[in-house]
Amino acid sequence: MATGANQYDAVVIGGGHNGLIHAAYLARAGRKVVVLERRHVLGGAAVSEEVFPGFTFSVCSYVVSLMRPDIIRELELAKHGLQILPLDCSFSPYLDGRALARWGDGDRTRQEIARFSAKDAELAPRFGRQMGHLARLVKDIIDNPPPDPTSFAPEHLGSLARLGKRFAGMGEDHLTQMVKLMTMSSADLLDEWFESDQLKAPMSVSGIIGTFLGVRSPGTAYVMLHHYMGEIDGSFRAWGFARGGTGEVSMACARAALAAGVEIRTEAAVDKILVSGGRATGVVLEGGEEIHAKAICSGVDPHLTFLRMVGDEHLDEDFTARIRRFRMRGSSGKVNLAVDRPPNFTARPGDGPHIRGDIAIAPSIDYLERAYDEAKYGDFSKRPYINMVIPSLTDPSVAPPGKHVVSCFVQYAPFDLAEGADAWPEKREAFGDAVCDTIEEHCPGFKDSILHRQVVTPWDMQETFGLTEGNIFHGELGLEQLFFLRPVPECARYKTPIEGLWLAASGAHPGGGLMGAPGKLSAMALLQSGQV
Amino acid sequence: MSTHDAIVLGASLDGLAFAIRLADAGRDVVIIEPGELAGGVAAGESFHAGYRTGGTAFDTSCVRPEVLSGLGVLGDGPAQVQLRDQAPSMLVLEDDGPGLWLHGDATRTAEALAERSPVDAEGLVAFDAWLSRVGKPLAAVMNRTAPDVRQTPSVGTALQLLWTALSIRRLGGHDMLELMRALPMALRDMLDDHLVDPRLKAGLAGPALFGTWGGPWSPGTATPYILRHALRTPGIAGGAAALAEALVARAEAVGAQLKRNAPVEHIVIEDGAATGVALADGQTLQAPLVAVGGDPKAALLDWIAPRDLPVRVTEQIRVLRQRGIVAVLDLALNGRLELADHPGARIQRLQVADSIEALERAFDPVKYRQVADAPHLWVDVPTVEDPSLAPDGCDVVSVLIRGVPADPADGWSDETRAALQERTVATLAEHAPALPEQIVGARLRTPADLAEQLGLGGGHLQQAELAFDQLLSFRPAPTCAGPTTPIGGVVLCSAASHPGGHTGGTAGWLQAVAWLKA
Repeated sequence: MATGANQYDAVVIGGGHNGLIHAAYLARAGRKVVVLERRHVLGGAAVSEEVFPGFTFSVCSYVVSLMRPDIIRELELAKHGLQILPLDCSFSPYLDGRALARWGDGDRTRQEIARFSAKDAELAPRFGRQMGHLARLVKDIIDNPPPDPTSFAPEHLGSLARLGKRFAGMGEDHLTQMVKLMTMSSADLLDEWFESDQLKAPMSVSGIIGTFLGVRSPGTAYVMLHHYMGEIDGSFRAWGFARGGTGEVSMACARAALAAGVEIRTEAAVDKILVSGGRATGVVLEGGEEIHAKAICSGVDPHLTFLRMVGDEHLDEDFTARIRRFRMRGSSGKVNLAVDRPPNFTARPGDGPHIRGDIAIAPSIDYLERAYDEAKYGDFSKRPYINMVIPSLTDPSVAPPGKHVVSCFVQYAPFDLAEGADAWPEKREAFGDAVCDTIEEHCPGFKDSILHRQVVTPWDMQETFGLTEGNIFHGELGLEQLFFLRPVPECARYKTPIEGLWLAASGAHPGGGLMGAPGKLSAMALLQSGQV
Repeated sequence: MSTHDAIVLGASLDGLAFAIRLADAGRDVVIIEPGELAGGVAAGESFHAGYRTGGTAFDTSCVRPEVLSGLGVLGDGPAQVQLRDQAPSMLVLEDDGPGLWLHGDATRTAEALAERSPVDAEGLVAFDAWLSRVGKPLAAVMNRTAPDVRQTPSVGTALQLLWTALSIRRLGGHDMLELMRALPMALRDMLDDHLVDPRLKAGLAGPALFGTWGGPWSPGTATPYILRHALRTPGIAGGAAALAEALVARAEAVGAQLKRNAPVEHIVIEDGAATGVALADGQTLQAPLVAVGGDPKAALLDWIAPRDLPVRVTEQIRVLRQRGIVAVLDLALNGRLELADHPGARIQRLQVADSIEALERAFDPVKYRQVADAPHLWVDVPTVEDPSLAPDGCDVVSVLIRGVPADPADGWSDETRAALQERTVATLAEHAPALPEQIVGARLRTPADLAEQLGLGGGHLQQAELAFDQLLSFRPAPTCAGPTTPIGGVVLCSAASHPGGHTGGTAGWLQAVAWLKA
């Protein structure tokens, strides 16, 4: 069944937050847009689901910080129900019975760190200021589309020149720090500042989240900076939960899109992108329904977009090869637990404010590195890095009274097991056990408190959420896969070699992390092109 | 007390190169070497009666012929060296086969590969051609003094930067973007994009890892590989030791005085500027210029009083990373090294590590300050090229053992040293069964020994790790990269300066040229 040609100005594949934001911006500019979501719920990886009766989980993405403030403002997401509950504490227990809690309040944090090192306690605020300063210097990189360094067009040359001037004008000190940040490992960088492993380990992990790298791998300091960017904007300075779960971020985007006139269809799985004469003309749904539009905007990752939905036959061989080598390599899993009481840490008992923020099981740099080494050779970490949050402590709406939801982001869980990715269904529960055993070491009795358990492996992320190889960022955040190289140079400004096909999600600049920037920037580029 | 125009601390290749250039320009130069040996890591040395090594760091493939010409040591005269006709071929040993030959010439390697992996035979030639194209502008950068990031670029520097940008742009969009993509990559990923055979990839990757602190999975390790390819030459005939001898002889010929066995006590600073050097024997030498040809961290932090060192310099040099992870084992054999699979063959270079994973696993334990059980071995048999290093019919075998931290968690003891030596010999014996019986003398040097004996910071063969933030204008620190430093009269000119080690004194040469110009 085919509907008439160009029934829509744009069809957006995938109802993740980027797809929804993209659609909202197009609709606000007066375009007729439909969003097609394969699942029964919206949000993609930013989704809340009542997995067990009464328990609502942010199934994949679990905290919010990087969402661009201009998007929140322009789409009036607050009016559409977005409410962020700030995380006030980062808590890290150690096996020797000690613990470190870093608070929003600088003095309190200083006292906590001083118990491990007085010198580090003095330096920590300076480090934070330095990172904030550097993040500010590069921030407009993520708020603008990347230039094309091969072009001699004035806009690209101008943009490159501005970038060069910005770096040149930093001065020796900042330039040096910037080069270090862009290229060093987070462990080496922190070694330059601090002496206590107990501080360095939980700080270093923001450099590895979502990447298949260890804290000693060069390039991870940059990912740390990426995370600092979230902390510098006016709208909400720190990390937080969305009330009702991360899915509420997507729902707010969806409401904004609906209000702007976007049509949203769920359980509408796109099978193929229709291409004729090198031009994308529409999509075919799994049932066979064809939907035509002037522009096809992909809110799914580049592998899915080109290799599955477009197909080799419509692509240049060299281009396909380069899309194929765009590294996905998922490295993380998620374990969601319903418990009948909050976890009780030996290192700091009770359900006080210290466990209302995020909890990092990252006892030492060596511990984290060993977790990575295990994964390098195709196994999940037996003692993984766990980033745990208990949103029900701040938002009781997500669990029955007295009960709690514990969300554990776990690294490393490599998509490619030594036995092959298909072995994941058999290993799923063993992976879940490793996570629970690890927590049990810090919270004796924790396992007895578990009522239900959901284990999301990278394989599940691919099969259920459409994230190729379970990569939560639609492609690794390595320097060689960022900026004008993301995902390949000819698609870095969202337009693809297939006329009428656009990239609108994290596989393009500036990448993943619940920012919304690719969705907005691609919508702006599409509108500017005059194609719709 | 003697007075000179310049004092060079450390008779490393770079220290010698610096001294030669200045002496050539008519300056009165004295070189102070704490030990007996001149030539640093390149120097050959007797380690057993009748046996000499061909140099600790034997690889000379990245020497700069134009620099050697400038120094006056390239040629067929006395005390001169020549480039080899072709690079020594390397055999990558494997457990289940005769091994894979890698030649200096990719086409020749491809021919040898044709049967084993036809797709790689083709892939390698294309990959090599790409590396050669993108290598040209990079080699130009490595042959020049790096711009000073402390000041707004002068017109000359700006033009040079523009020229570099243009020369990279002239590669064409495709090559340029591929280069920008490749530089920050993990070596494994870059090789995976082009090649398949694990032996081939391991053989290509192995030698390029020696300056880095990381395995081939570490992002950024593609850069040393690309640079090495960009700078490659067939190397010096006679090896590193021949180059060291030539530079020592040349230094004497141009009138630079070499004082051996003269440890430094401190650098004398007056009113913020160096005026000389106090030696451990109580002697003081005076000169308005003190050039550091050895470990910059030791020189600045140990030989200069903290009050004389600007805070910025202290901060930057303190964090210089120089973690040595290579031990060196020299073996004296009473016969020829004979491989079971290659009877009678004279083989100069061998590698033990037959996959990228093996290279990665060799590095893993280092992170936890453990010695690797199965380290990556790079073997040189210098007697193939220079039989005079050993008695007739005998071989010297030098093994670089990668995967050995300078400061293992349990420290060094006679037992741990013996165990490392035994394991290394046993590994080689799997391919050369007669080897253990042939050994008449052996010397193992851990990175800690190398630090002590050769004055290498952290025991690192190149004085400072190869990492993006320790290259070019940032090597060894942005305030001390150029021919002037914030401490008047002090200049750094070791392998820890741009363009780094294994370039046969290029850092010393570039610093001297720039200093004379300034």
